[in-house]
Amino acid sequence: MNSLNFKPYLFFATAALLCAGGVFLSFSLGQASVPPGEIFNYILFKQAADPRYHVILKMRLVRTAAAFITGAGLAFSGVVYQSSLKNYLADPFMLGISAGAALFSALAITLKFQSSFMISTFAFCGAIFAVSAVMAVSIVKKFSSYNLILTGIALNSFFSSFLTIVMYLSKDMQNIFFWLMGSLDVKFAGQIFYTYIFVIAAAAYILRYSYILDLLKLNEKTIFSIGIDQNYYKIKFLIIASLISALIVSQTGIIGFIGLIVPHAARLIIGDLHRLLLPFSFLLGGTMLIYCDLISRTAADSINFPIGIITSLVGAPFFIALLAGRRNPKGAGSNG
Amino acid sequence: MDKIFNADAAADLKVRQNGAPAFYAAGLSYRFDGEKDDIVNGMNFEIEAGSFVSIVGPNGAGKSTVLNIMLGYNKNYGGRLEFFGKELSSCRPDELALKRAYIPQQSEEGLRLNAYEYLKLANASPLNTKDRDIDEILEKFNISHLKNHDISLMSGGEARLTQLAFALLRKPEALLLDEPVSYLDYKNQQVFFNILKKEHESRKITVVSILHDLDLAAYYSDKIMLVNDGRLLKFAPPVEVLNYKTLGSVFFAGASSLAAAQSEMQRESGRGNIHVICGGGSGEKIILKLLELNFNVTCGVLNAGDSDWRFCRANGAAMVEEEPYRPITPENYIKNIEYIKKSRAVVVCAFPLGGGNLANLKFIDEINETGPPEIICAGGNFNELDFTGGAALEYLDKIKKRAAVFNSMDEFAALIQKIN
Repeated sequence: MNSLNFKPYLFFATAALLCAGGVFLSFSLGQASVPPGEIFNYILFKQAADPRYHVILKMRLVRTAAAFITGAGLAFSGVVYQSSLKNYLADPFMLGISAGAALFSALAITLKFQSSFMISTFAFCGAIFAVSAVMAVSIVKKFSSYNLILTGIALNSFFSSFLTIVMYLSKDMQNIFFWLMGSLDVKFAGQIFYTYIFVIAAAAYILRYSYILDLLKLNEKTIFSIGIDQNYYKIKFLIIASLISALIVSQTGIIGFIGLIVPHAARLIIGDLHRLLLPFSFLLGGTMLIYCDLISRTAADSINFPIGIITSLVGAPFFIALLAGRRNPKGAGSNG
Repeated sequence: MDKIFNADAAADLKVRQNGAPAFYAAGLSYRFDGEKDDIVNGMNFEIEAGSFVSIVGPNGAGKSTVLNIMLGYNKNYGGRLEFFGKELSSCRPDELALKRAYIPQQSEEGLRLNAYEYLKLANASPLNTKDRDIDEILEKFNISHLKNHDISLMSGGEARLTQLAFALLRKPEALLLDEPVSYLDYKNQQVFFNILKKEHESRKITVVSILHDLDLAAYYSDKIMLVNDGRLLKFAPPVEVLNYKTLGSVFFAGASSLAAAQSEMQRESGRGNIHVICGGGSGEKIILKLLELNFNVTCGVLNAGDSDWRFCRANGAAMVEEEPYRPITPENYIKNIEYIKKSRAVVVCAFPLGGGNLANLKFIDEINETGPPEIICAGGNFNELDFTGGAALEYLDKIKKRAAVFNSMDEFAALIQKIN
């Protein structure tokens, strides 16, 4: 029809290239750098001339994979949260996920559970518990996005106070603190594999109904007149997005900002049509976290900066630049 | 779709609807949760399938509430409301969705989709709306060029037409509109309603629309529902509803307004000129009578869009026209006096007088103390028609002192015959 229709593919291609570049750099750089030839050998033939490279690359593969799915999942559920709650300030942690996960993992650490699997399990339960509580309260009352958000804010701060108490009384304050800052040090490769399966399946399911997310932006009575029960879909989408982010948070700790800013950046670049927006956010979120992880590993010798700090440090200026450089259509950024 | 509509139910509804009115209400009432008073109070009406109905009334009268009940959005109403023969409260939302569409009061603000992407959603899943249908309707509405335009960047008129296209892509049997043109300028109101009317006629859709503009309501509707204080005051064809007795009691505001294109046509023929001062439909019978008697009729000053203005235009009577909703300008005032001076007689009808059209009576100070022109003035009490706080009555007293007064069409006919 016209050149406009090619644009999305161009954006996807660019993001995919960036992503591939990120993966390559991620393999190559770190405390020991690996020559490019070895990387191709490893990727294509699963072998390396030097056995040390094999170990390094295997570790980096797991870490890069973890970075991608974490960023992708958080960004994806960020879009779903924003569109379902009809609020551009929403992020995947809005309904209590981070607070619940933080409190429960702090409890696990305080109770001396050593294995990261146990801490993850606690964190996952905490996240699910918190988000269920928020939903239950707002469903029992009258379900609305407004009620959900307010209940979420209240419960977030309620859990945060408990967390403060636990940290104050606990002897493992530093461990708790580290967990809270988020980390991509994944102990088991298998864990990442299952996360991929779940996140991709859940994302594919929501993508199938992407038009409902488009519809949710229409006038409430228009949606009703089309015969769509918007609350049914909102709850369904929020539950699925919550499961995605709870699973991720339980493994990596709280990596903030990415679930808020990547969806916005994606909207600015590719528009509001969810059929494109959802996969684009997925790709962009994963790519961004790969680069953030790269920076956190390579910025200073022998120090891994907490990934959560890097996402904000890198993400905020990038986002502001994007906002400044883009014509803002009327209505964008409003609550509606 | 998780909730696939059941085809049997659709067939069932089709059978029942044969001959049934689109909406049938008996003792319809509604009360918001926690409120003491009914916002809709015992309404009875029957909206014929395929008719065009406007709901008019002041703010807070309950218009939107009634429309939302008919939409199925306000549930738990009291009394009965049948939609094509089936009790509305027993219809499922997806069942209703197949039969009626809705256009809200607001345009879809902040929607950052282009027209094509937006229209694709008309039947929920994009798979249900064919590209061909979209192209066809955009073409028909003359807005094909907007296909790739962002909804949020469109002008008010464009956005409204796109919303109408969205609603019609759903192939509804009934279309409900909540003040569809309130934010549009005069021209775009006409464009919107002309298209709506055409679609209404060609598709035989039942249209129910809340309107604030009484002229539009009069012009396009088959019937008008006049609503006030939650009650249905009148449900009848426009002529029976839009008269000053009925409306005055509800709105109590100066009905005059309007105004102006220029018409230079003036015919010198028949038995000479009679100038009629009227408005809001008060002049129709009189103008008709004068035309019957082979007089050349001129009118003024009328605001464009006024029902007498439309009547004059339809019958080829020359007018002094003012722009819609504007007070009479000095130029038009002078023009009107010129018409009057050329006339054999001036007829003053009983029409509502406000600040905007008061100047129409000032001619009395501009003409000679005795005719020509003669003056013929409607009798009776103008108190109810005076929205100027008495100024109009003073002029009317002056006019009546010099005028022959008539109290019926027969008397008028007798008076006008004497002019010869």
